[in-house]
Amino acid sequence: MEDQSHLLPYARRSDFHVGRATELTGKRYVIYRIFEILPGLASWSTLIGVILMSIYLPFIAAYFIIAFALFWVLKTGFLSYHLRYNWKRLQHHIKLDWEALVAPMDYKDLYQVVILPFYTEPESVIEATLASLGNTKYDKSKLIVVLASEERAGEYAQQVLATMTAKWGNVFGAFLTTVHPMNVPGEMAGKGSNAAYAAEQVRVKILDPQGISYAKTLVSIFDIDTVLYPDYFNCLVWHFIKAENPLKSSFQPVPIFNNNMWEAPALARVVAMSSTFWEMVQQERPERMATFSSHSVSFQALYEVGYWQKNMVSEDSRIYWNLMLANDGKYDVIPLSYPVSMDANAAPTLWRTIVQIYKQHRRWTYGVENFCYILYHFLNQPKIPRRTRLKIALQQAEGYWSLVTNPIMLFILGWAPIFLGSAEFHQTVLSYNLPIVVRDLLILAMFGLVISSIISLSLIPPRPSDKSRLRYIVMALQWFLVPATMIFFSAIPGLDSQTRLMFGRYMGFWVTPKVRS
Amino acid sequence: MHPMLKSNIPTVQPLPRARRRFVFLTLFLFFVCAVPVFVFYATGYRYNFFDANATITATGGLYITVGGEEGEVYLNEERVRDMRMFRSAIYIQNLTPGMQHVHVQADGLHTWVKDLPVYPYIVTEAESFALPVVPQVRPIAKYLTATGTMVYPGVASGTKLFTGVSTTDTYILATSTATTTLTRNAEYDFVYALFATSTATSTLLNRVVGEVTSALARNNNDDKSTTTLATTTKISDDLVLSEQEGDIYVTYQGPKNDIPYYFCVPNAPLASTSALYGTHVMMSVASAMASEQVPQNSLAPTERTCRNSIKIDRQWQTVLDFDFFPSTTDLIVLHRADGISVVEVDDRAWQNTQMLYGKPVDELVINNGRLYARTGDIVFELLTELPTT
Repeated sequence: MEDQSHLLPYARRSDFHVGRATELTGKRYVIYRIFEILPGLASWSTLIGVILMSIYLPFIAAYFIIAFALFWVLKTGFLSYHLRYNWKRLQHHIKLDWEALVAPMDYKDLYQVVILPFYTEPESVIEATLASLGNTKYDKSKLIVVLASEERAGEYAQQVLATMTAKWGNVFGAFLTTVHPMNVPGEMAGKGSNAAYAAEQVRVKILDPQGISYAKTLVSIFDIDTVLYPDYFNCLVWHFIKAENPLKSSFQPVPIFNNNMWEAPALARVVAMSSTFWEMVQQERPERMATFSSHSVSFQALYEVGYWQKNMVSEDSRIYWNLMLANDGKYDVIPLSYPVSMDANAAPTLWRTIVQIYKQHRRWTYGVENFCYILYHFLNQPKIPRRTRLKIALQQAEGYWSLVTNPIMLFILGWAPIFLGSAEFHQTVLSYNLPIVVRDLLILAMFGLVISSIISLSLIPPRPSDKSRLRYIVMALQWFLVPATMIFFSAIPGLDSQTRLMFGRYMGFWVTPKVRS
Repeated sequence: MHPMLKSNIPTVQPLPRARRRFVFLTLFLFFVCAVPVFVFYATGYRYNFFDANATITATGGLYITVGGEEGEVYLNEERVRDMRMFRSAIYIQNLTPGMQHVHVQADGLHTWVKDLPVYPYIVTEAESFALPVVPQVRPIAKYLTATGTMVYPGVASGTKLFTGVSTTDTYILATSTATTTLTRNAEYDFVYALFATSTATSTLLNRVVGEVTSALARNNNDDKSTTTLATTTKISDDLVLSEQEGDIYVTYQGPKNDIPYYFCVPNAPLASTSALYGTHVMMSVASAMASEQVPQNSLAPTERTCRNSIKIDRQWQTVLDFDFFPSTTDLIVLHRADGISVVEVDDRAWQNTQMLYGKPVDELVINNGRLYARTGDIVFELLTELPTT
């Protein structure tokens, strides 16, 4: 049996790394299954409820829709306030000389492990990521870079490892290449299993032989298209040292999906930047944050929970919940408000871009599997205060529910009472005023997009010489696509994910293809 | 300072939690206060801040469908600022309850006029229509020249074939009766055949329907209904157009909830209905209620009473034929002894009647949404819109 002595007590539970209900039996299975059904049931009930209410109680439905539209306006304003604030902070952090800030600190014995899992992404993408690592203002001898490949990627991956080792093998303190074996029982092919394997290889092959302390090692897991800003590690070190509980904290940069912003179509740009904005908003309310995409954490913390989960899709967020539960709720995410650049999801053709974005967002919104996990463990983890558990559960529930239902209710079902209501309703002033009031409120909410437009223009890379200045106008106006993108790349993939989970049709990990000219 | 960090550097700190909470609570309070305001506003409540004796009043609205985009709507003789919800409809809100005088006018078209009652919380619907003041006709001659120009042979030059009408088509009057150099106009033959078919069908239909209806009426009823004798019947969607003792009636026979708005009036004392809509409406509503042919709570929502039959105003003229206006059941085409008129079914206050052709014609037929008339051998199409310039 695997040694579990290094794990925190709660992490030793057999169900600590549960990925889905089918991995459990008996009463535990039933409870977990109920939690898997819950999000989809709530979302579908809401949407069908609005339709039924429009038919049978059109007046109540109209009042509800007006109140909801007003709520949406205020919510947009509230989130825009956070976004604008984080934008200012982000700009400030980019300008700060973090090297000078950390210079007085004692961090010379701190090591940075960078795990870069990849599958079949082009060499140029991997090359750019390693080049950005090489350009960071940090002592390269303290950088341990792990290029983590998949055995199932075959010959191509081996060739990439050889090429990159030849070029970058001597640039960093250590350059480790790993090959995650395929078809390991109990594992799902995906980033989580690859990264966990790579982390263990680092421990066995580098940390332990060289006697490097786990507590003095920070692990950053980056998507393979992540391009670092020069001061990333200095910023990370500053926050790590200043953190109240550095070993009980994860560190979250702002993923800006702008590497290929000048090549990506408008649709991809809006969706990508919307994801960035959501993370920027979350940076200003860290109590609601879970780690997302690229992030950093101490090796000590990772080791105490057995690394990333290997049997599920959204390992990037799950690791936070693993850490939070295992540490009895005493675990934080610290927002860095410092960017890392990644690729907007774009393919060679518009249709393939649309399909890719849909699939990527379905994978992201499949993060709802974490909601089941949280609820299940909240029933079993009494050391976390009940009030905290309740608050987190409600926050997460509202998040997954509103993600799916809000855009559909606003932009489609808001008109339902007019089309489905009774003749009695149709002759009322309320029936005629409903679309006018909702339309006006949504126009008001669209002013939030002006802020989005301004901020997005400030986050794009410099204009390549072959791109027209007119593109700036297009980039400013592209935000009118938001209502459509909210429905087709947020609500519908979210509903898709929740429905799959509800019916036990579990998803696998879909790797987003990376294309960069 | 960030709660999780032990330093005030860098200078820009995360959004303080206290400030976030303050903003949240402010917005929450605003939401709680604003929701009732928005709901009351949408329901029709208004408050006039500029009136010294201002009170909260419950308003209603009018929804006027305008036939054609060029029509201008006037409310109590004042032009309504264009607030079209769709291309062809205007929604006028913030109206205090009471009678409102509406008219829709446009150059070259008949003016549509209606007195409509406005009730609190309710939108009163009406559909205007506007036909050309000067009838627009398109001649269909029997013969064509080799170049396709219409020819009327055997007609002295200077003869006015179409007087008091407007046409944009050119035709030739030929003194000679010879037709050997001319070609037969296929459209004329087609339309002429329509008249023949219409007459034959009508005659047969009249006979069969008349006899069957008469027999059924005698078997099932024992009083005034026995006199009912339909000479012909036109059916479109759920509406039946029929003649009874020289008068024309539109009868609704469809599902309860789909009944056209003008069949119904809000529940009110009959005296009030009479004052608002006219005696004729009050009487038909009273008749519907008394005979329970349209029981309340069954045919329509409880807030209103609906009749299922409306009499069409023929202005004391003999009606030779009738049909639904092309592509709508809200208007009726009457072939009267004095010409061709179009009447709206909506009988609130009165029914607007507009002459489509102000002279007697022998026959009228509607085919594929087009109106054709015949006077002797002269056949022409009646156009319902002004030509576009």
